[in-house]
Amino acid sequence: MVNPVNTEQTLIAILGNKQTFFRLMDLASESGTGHAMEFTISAYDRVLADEADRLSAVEGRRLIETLSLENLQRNGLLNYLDQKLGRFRLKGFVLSMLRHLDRKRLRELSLADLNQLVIQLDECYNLVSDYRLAWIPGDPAYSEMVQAVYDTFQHVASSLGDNITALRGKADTLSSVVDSADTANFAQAEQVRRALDSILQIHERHVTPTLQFLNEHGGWARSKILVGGELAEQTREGPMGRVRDIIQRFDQHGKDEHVSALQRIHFHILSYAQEAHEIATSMEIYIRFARQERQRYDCAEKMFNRLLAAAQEKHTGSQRDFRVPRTHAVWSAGRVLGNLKVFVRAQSANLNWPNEEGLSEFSEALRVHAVSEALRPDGRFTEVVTPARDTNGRERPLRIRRLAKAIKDFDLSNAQDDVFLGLHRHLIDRLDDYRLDMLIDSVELLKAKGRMEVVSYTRVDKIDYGGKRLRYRPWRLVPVGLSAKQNISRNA
Amino acid sequence: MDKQLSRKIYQELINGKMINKYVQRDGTRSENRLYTELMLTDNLTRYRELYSAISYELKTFGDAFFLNEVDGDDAISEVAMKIQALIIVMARGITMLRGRTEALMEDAAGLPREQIEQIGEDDEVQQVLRAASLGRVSLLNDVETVLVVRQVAYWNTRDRLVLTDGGVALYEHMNALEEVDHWEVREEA
Repeated sequence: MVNPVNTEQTLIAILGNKQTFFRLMDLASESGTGHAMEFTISAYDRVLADEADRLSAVEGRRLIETLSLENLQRNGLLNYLDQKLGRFRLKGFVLSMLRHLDRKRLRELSLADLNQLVIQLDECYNLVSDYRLAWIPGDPAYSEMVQAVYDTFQHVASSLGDNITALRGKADTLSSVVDSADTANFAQAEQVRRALDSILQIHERHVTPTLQFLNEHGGWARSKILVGGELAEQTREGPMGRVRDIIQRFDQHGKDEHVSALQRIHFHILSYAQEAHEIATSMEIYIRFARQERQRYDCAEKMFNRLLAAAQEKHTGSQRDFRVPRTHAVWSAGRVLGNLKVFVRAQSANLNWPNEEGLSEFSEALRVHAVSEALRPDGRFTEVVTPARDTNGRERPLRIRRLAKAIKDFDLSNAQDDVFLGLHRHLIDRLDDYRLDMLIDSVELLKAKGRMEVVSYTRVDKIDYGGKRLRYRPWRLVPVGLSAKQNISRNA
Repeated sequence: MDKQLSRKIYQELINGKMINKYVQRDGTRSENRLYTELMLTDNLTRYRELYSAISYELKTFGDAFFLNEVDGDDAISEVAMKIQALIIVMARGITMLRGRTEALMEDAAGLPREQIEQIGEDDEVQQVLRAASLGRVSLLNDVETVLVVRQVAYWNTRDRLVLTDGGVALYEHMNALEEVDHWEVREEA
């Protein structure tokens, strides 16, 4: 049995030990019973015991006596105490008093809460509009109506006041989380993301409806009600308009003293609009930031997934090339960079490609060709077809490369009497698309393997192939390292 | 026109690099003299004419300059393709690591090398890199040889990767395009 402590001392003890109750509130929020603000007896005993442990034995015992549930119950500070379920709830005014000591614990009004306030104002309006009401002081119905109007107006003003304080507290707390975070710190990024989400939510679900509620000229959508089985059209009159209408009724009945008193409350309520607007403005920068971050996040996901889908389309099992072609739509964003590249390298690449490809034979052929070109007397060949015209600069190197490859296994002994004829027969077998004009290039390439000697200055031979005719003086090829004489004798 | 700066500008542009408004110099972010030279009154027109005379187009994008070949291939270049792919991979990588994409654009923040390596280990990221002829060595290597060399990104004083002005402009452009697409889809629906 504990010694009884009076209400005044008990309330002082509650205020003096507010942290105990804040811990209890936090525990209730974490356990999901935050809305009901219902506490468990075991949690309370534990928290209270912790608090008492910090004090001296005497002071601790006194604290436990004062804040014991029996004492709280005795002083009418509990809504209920259910020993069977092990739960209790503090009276609303005690909770409200505690919340006011820590503004971040104040509850902001949701759309549902504001709707409740609108319903109360509508009820008030119905009361003052009742034609049966006699506006005579002393009439019980009139007195009840006046009391109801004042109570409602004060309740609205007080709720909005708490709401504004709560919103400011939340906005400040969340914005400080965002401001103090280091962008580079990935651990803090998650915290910032949650804070930004909360800011977006508060703005959307609390600040905007509050501003609408406080808009003097705005409307307010009410849920439709069933009248005679049909949905009845509801008024869209805004709450502040409704307040004005109620005051007007008092004015119509010449109740000046109430008009001025109610108008004071009305102006007080309207003053919250400015504060709500300031909160909305202070949140704007974070909202813009949060939306931008969310948009970037979504974009990154979408862009990546599209690119991944394009890449996976290439995974057909048999294909080895997973490259998404440069013409594919997924690269449209990068098109602003156009053909950005290293232009120097692109130019030099054209000059160096044979080395890069490892065609040393072809490089050598070009070198020899360049020397022989310089030494070649004019008019060596008569009536020959010219080498294939190089209409496309990119084709010729490729054709030369093919020819170089085709003559690689040419038996030089077939060139000892007539280079042109021997090479012509060889190329017919090697190249499907062989044309007579390729022979000229091929003979030039073959010069890398020996020295050309004219067989006869008087004889002119001809080769007919593919509808074309080549007329030429016969030449023989003397392999590198042999003189003409050695060559002839070796053949003999 | 300043002859010395003009030569430097040519060296940068012809090597496929971007010239950004700001550069990291001695640990601080300072204005790029090459960018200022290009932006000086009358200079820009003259530089454009100069490059046009040698078959190039001097392009501006955000706060950056780069070169294109006149009458070049219509398709996106291999380099541009790689840049786009890497920026997408970096941005998506940050979101996967629950970071803020903003980190990629702030000089004071940036993306650490370890995080880049971590991003590169993801299977899907590797598929995307292969789609752009990347990922042969490592993501970090691609970032260095493509983004950093071309001055689309740089390593800040904390040795973290940050996009340059040109890189940021491209990233924002990609986001804006994505937003427009989104809007169109919604309108059709």
